[in-house]
Order: sequence, then structure tokens, then C-alpha cells
Amino acid sequence: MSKNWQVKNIVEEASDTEESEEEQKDEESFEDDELSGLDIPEAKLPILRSIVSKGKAVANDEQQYFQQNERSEDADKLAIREELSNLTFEELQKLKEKIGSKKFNLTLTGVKKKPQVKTDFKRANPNRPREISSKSRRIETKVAIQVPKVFRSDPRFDNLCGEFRERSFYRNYDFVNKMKEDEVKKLKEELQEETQPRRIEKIKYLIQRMENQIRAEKKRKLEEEKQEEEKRITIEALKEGKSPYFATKWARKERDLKEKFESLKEDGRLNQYMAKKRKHNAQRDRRHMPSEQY
Amino acid sequence: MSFFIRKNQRGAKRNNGATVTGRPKTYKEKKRLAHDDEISSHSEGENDDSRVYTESEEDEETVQEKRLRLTKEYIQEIENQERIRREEHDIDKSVIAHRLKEDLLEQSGRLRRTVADSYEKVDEALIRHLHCKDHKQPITCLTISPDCQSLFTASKDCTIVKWCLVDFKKVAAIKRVDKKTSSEVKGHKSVVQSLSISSDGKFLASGDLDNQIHIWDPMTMKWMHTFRGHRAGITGLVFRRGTHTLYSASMDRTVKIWNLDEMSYVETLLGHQDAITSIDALNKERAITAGGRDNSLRVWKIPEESQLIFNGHQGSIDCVRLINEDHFVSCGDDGMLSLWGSQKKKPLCSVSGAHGVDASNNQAFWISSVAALTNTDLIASAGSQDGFIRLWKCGDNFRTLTPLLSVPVCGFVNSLAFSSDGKMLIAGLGQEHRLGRWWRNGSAKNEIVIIPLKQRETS
Repeated sequence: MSKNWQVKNIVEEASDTEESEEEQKDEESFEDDELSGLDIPEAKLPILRSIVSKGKAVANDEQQYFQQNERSEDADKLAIREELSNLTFEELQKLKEKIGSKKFNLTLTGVKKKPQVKTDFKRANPNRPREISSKSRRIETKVAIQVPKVFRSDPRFDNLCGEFRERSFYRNYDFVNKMKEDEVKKLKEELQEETQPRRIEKIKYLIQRMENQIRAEKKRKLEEEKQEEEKRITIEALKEGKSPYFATKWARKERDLKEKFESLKEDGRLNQYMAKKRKHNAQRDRRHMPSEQY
Repeated sequence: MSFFIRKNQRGAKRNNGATVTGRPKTYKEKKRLAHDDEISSHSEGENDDSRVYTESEEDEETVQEKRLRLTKEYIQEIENQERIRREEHDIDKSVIAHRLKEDLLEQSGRLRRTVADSYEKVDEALIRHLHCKDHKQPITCLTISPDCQSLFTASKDCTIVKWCLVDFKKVAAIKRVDKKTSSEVKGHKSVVQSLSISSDGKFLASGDLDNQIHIWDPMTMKWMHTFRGHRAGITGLVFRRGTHTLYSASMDRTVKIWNLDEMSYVETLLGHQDAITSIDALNKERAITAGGRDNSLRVWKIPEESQLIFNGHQGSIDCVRLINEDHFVSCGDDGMLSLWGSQKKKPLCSVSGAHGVDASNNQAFWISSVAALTNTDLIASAGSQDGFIRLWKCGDNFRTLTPLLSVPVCGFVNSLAFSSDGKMLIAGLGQEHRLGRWWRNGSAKNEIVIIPLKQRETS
């Protein structure tokens, strides 16, 4: 086991933290009420039930409430014993089984709050074992094996990641495009050998996707080059002392068209392209013409 | 009126004991009385009692006389025993005194006997193997009756078997029960992980992973009662010696106390932070539990409603046994065997890699069970994979552990127990660990191994 996963001494921690809000009370709670699951009908033990439910809410601040309720405790005891006297023997047995014979006997005999129970456990020296109460119904949320919590952060909003710079980003991760090209080749080879139809579909899909991505990347690079070209012109002009060069939209469009024409000419597809364009434009113009319905 | 008429003892008592007018005795008088009587009457109050007592039944003896008579009988009994033991006609008074002293120490829980050195090497030919059809799966737990006459074992096929330790044969079995069997036939529905017998041999308790504790009569193996109250499987059961109080430890991290005289639930003890793996108790109203992966051993002081926490081990603590009221031994799946004293929160002595190290991944072999001969310095530990049961001697003041003997066994030792007279060591073996199937040893058999221990005759 690596050092990161060493089990800490949770026992120490458990005593230090008083109630923490993280305690999820749904998880593995012991009987919420000491009398839950008792067969006796609801109406029969009103005072006892109210005391137990009050006690649950009050369990943590025992000392405070103990002082406040000292006087009424005796009255409570009497009331409980009266109630118990009204129960049948069977119901008494059930109650006894539920809360345990120790507590039951205490309520019957009306012994006062146990004097020998000490809340402050002090040991003679720190080498002695630690002593705590064995009755505290603390809901255990600490598991013996602690898994370190994984904190994820969004790099867009994380200050430590810095500001996004497109040019440096693309420059840094340019190698991925090269890997893509290699992978497309491999996939094509695989496609030739593959026989399962599902797998063939997947590979085809992947090839398509990757080729699209490569094409888009190339386009982006061209755009970048053009921008750099403009910048270069501006810099040269400034060096020579002239005013900087700012291209207008139309100038850019013109330049693009020119490049397109030249590339088509080289390929020999210019006629095809022009025919398509004419058709398309005709369609558009026809839409604007008034319709010949009547 | 009657006490005036009484003569002899009564008259003598009157002279020595109560004054006529009934005035309170002076200090000197009391001292004199204490000197004169063998069993001193310490106050007038007692004589009053005896007076009242004899008034009602004239021929009965007084309390003092009764005490005297009982002590004499006791000493006589010891004398007889010693006589038989020694095969002599003369009895050594000092031996009687020694015996009385031992008994006193045992009662108060302070007895220590150093016997470990006197044990000889085990003769492997004398080791017995017990099989039966009811235990086709690995044995999970076992317990020996206090008179060393019978052995009770339980296995993963939900059965409990009673064996006779005199002729080493199966006596009775409690078979597995499922939905189809009628509700009159009692048994366990899931793996029985814990067994315990009371010190007077009147109750046998068994707990399974289905949250039930069944109580049986060990003589007839008849069902007596079922305790339902735990919320997860029961991993440990132990009776407090000399009483009918049962302590149960479960995987729901609680210890529950049950009173078998009234067949009722008494209370719950909370505190562990992981499933409890093992529980043990001796004569005092205390229990010790091992908490698995929370690396803590807890001694529960039941009347004071508090717990003492001991920290140690790095992996899961699998088994804990009390050696005497103040010392205990624990073992874990980190391969460590640790000796503890009740005054220190860390172990007094630890042996790591006690059962060897796995060569393939450099991890120590797990130690699955440990046993201690009560009030002596002998400990036995058994791992799962190195094929040995090792006997250790606890050194001076329980600060050292020295290996004594090793007995080769084939299989996973899921449970170990010493018989109370120290003559036998019984191990429950299986092809797998009792809690899971991390490894499986195909060549091993699911059996019970009885190892006879012989002590060297001291001249």
C-alpha cells in the first residue's frame, strides 16, 4: 500500500469533533427512537413516548437540560410508573425486551440517575488507554478506510491554468494532428481486414470524423497564414515608416476568391464550379421574382 | 427464651461474645475476641444475627460454625485430592497452603503460572483428525466444554456438531434449516461464525450471519431460545465465566449483553467504528473486542458503562484472546502477533511476520486465529498459509514472545482452542478462510485436528 492510502488514526478524530453538519442521519442510524418497532398501541404510553422522543433531541446537551428538568424528573418517573402499571403483562415483557432489562429495572425501581456513572474520564498518564463512554449513540459516519476525496476543477475558470491564448494553444498541440493522420491510415488498413459489420460501421464513422477534423485543421491553418501575411505587411510598412495596413472585409473576400479561382484552375474544375454557381444564383434570383400564379 | 437454656457452645459464646447488658464492646474486648476465636466475630451485630437465627431453629448451627465446618470440609477435600495426586499417605501442609493460595489468586484474577517451558515437542503420530458428513465445508469455529469431555464445532454449511473427546466420535448434530423445513425444527439458515459454551456447561450459544443467536442445551442439543436483536451477522460470542451472561459481537459494530437466566436482552455497547471481528471475556464483568479495520481493541467495563481503547496493528485485527485479566493477545491480517497489557495503549510486544512472508508480493501471511491457555504464559497462533500452528511463550512480564514449538497442519486454521487443563490444542481447519474465498487449498481437508500436548515431568 502506498503512503497516501495509510489508514489514519480515526479514533482520535472521532473524539475531537463534536457534532458536524456533514453527519448524514439517513445512513445507518440506530433505532431513531428507542421505542421504535414496539408492538404496544400508540395510545398506551403517551408520557413514556414523549420523554423518549424529547430525550433523542436533547441527547447532546445533556447537562444543560438535566439541570432544567431536574424537578420534573421525579414527576416523570411517577407518571411512567403509573403508565406501566396499566399495561398487561405481555406488553410489559415486550417493552422489557425492547429497551433491555437493565433500563427497565431502573424505571421500575425508580432509582435516581446513576451516581457512579462518570462523564469525565481522566487517565493517569498518556500511555494508558483512552477511556470513553460506551453508551453514546453517535451515528458513525467515519468509515474505517478513508478514501481521499477527488476535487475536480474546470480549467476555464481556474486561475492556476492561466489565460487562454489560441495561437500558443494550437502551436503546443499541433502534434495531435500528425497523430490523427497516422491513425487514419491505420484505420483504413483495419477497415480492409475487418469483417464484423458493427465494427466496420464504427471504423467508417471514425475515419470520416478524423478526416473532417484534419480538413478543418488545414483550413484553420490557411486562415492563420493569411492573418500572419497581413501582419507581416503591416510590420514591413511600419519599418519603412509608412502607415500600417488594415484590410477591409471586401479586400479579404476578393483575395480569397482570387485564391480559389487559381486553385480551381490548376485542378481543372473551374468550369464545373462556375456552372454550379450560375445555377445556384439563378435559383436565388428566381425566388425574388414575383410568382406567376395568376 | 431458648438461648438461656442452651448450654456448651451457646454458653461459651456468651462468655466470649455478647455482654449481658448488651452494651457496645470496647476496642479491647473486640481485639481479645478476635484473638480468641479462630474465625473472629467482628461485632455484636453478628451475634445478634445468630441469636435470632437460633431462636427460630434450635438445632441449627450458627453462621460462624457453618463457616468453620465448610472451610474444614474444603481443606479436607484438597487434602484428599493432593493425596490422590501424590499417592502418598502423608500430606505436605505447604502443598495445601500453596493450593489455597492458587485458588485465591484464581478467584481474584491474579493467577500466573509459567508452564510454557515444560511442554515437549508434539508427537505427530498422536494427532487426531475428526471428519464427518455434516462438515463438508470449512470449519468456522469451535468451543470445548469446560469439563473437556465434549467439543462443539460449526462449519460453513450451517451445521453444529457435538463430539465426544473421550472416544473422539461424533455424538450429535444440528443440521441446516431452510425455508422448506417446518418451523418446529430449529437450526441455522446461514453460516455459523461463532460458538460459545457457558462455564457450567448449561448453555451453548451459536451465532450466524443471519443476525440470530440460538441457545441450545449442550447435553441434549435441544433448542432453548433465539435472540434476535442484532442488525448484522454475529461474529463473536462469549459467556462470562461463572455466570449466565452472554456477550455477543456483531458486524453492526455493537456488543450486546444477554441474560440467560431470564432469557432477556440487557443492553448494548456502542463505540466500534468497523465490524467487530472477535470478542473474549474471563471472570470479570468485562469484555474485550477487536474492531477489524478501525485498528482498535476495546475493553468494555460494563458496570461503569465505559470503554478503554487500545490502538495497534496496521491491517484488520482478526482475533483477540485474554490470557489473564490484565493481558491479552491479538492477531491480524498484517501478519502481526501482539501482546498487550491493560495499562498501556500500545502493545507490549509485537512480532511481525510471525507466520512468514508471501514471496510473491512481499506481504506477511495473515494470522487467522490465536488461542491462549488461561492464566499461563502459553500462546498458540495459526496462520492461513504457512502450514504451521506455532506455540509461543510469553516472556517475563509479558514483554517478550519467544517461539516454542510448531506443529505442521494442512489447511486454513480458522479456529484454535486450548482445553482448560492444557492437555489438548484443538484446531478447526478448512480449505478456505472462514470469512471468504481469497485462497483455496485443494489438498487440505475440512476437519478438526486434536493435538495432544505433553508436559515434561518435573522431578
